[in-house]
Amino acid sequence: MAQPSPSAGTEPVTPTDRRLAVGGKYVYCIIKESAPREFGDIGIGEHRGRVYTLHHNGLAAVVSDSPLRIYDPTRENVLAHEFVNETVMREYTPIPMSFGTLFRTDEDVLELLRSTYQTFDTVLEQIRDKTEFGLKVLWDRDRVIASLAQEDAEISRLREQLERSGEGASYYTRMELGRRIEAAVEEAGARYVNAILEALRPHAVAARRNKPIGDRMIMNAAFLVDREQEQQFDDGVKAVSRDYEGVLTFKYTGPWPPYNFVNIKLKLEQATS
Amino acid sequence: MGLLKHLLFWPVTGPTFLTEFAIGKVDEVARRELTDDTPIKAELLELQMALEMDEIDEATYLEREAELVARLREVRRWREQFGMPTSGGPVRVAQDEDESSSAGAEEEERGSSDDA
Repeated sequence: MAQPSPSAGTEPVTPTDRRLAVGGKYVYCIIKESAPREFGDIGIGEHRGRVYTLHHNGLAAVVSDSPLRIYDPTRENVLAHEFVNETVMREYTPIPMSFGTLFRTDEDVLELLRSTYQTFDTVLEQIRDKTEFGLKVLWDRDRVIASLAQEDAEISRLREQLERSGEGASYYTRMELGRRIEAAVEEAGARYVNAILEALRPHAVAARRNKPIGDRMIMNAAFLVDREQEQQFDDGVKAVSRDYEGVLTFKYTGPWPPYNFVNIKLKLEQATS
Repeated sequence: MGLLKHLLFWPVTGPTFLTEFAIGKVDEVARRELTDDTPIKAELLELQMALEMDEIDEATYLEREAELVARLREVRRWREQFGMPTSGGPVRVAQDEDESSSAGAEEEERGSSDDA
């Protein structure tokens, strides 16, 4: 619990840090593999450590040596973590570890594999040959409002009324128009999202919706896709983005390891000594 | 917010200061604000999104990111001072307190958070 608090981030590597570095293992993911593997000098941190595997009974943890420190969730660090997982994914279906997971020794990593063996094994079987894709959908609210005003009779009536009466428009009319637009915008958003989800669902094993990021996003979804269906899923995404061209902006990412579909709660504690 | 600002800029004068905190002289609201990193993480996500959508350039991103990371570290320091759990740093598989149930592979449980 009470941690010696190695001051985080990019502070200079002191001799003490170097001594600590001997045992530190940063874990990226868990795969099914019994033979030792090397993935190159692509590890997290400025020292770009060698990425290799530690094994227990047919399972392997993909790790690199690292000073025992706290990795800030900077873009650079997160991308380094993801890049290793992407590299591993070319050949395996990994269970990704959450960002920043460090163990003190090989033995501690092996203990993770031993104690969680059954779960890892089962989950690896479930996600075999499946990958995740992310789809974020953004819109331009003003543009949507403009097009809604044309479709929605009530909105255009209120608008006209407002324009006719100019400055003297009643507070009530303004309020009513605002409310009406708000409701119509919300409804349009839900309609878009449902249509997109419906269009893609046949090509995915599962879908999960996360909280949208920022004001402009209406959908932040992750899809679990069978490798054999990747092409169809891809075509599906292209088709919907064509359908909504000019109205919605699509941000399509992947393939990712199944971050959103693996949910193993590890019982870990801080290792102080 | 007034109290929070006051606390943040209060010169840290030593152990007594901290003990006083620990025994609960701090308003619970301020304490929660000091030790909650969720709004900072949300801001970081929005910032990354803005970069990916080309709404800001790399330099602006890095500048803002550095600010947010500094705030995250600040929260972590407060959590440590309050004796609250922090994320990051070395971990190990938790030892089961009652030895009787440590026989097998059921030491983990499934939960709703995004670990692993």
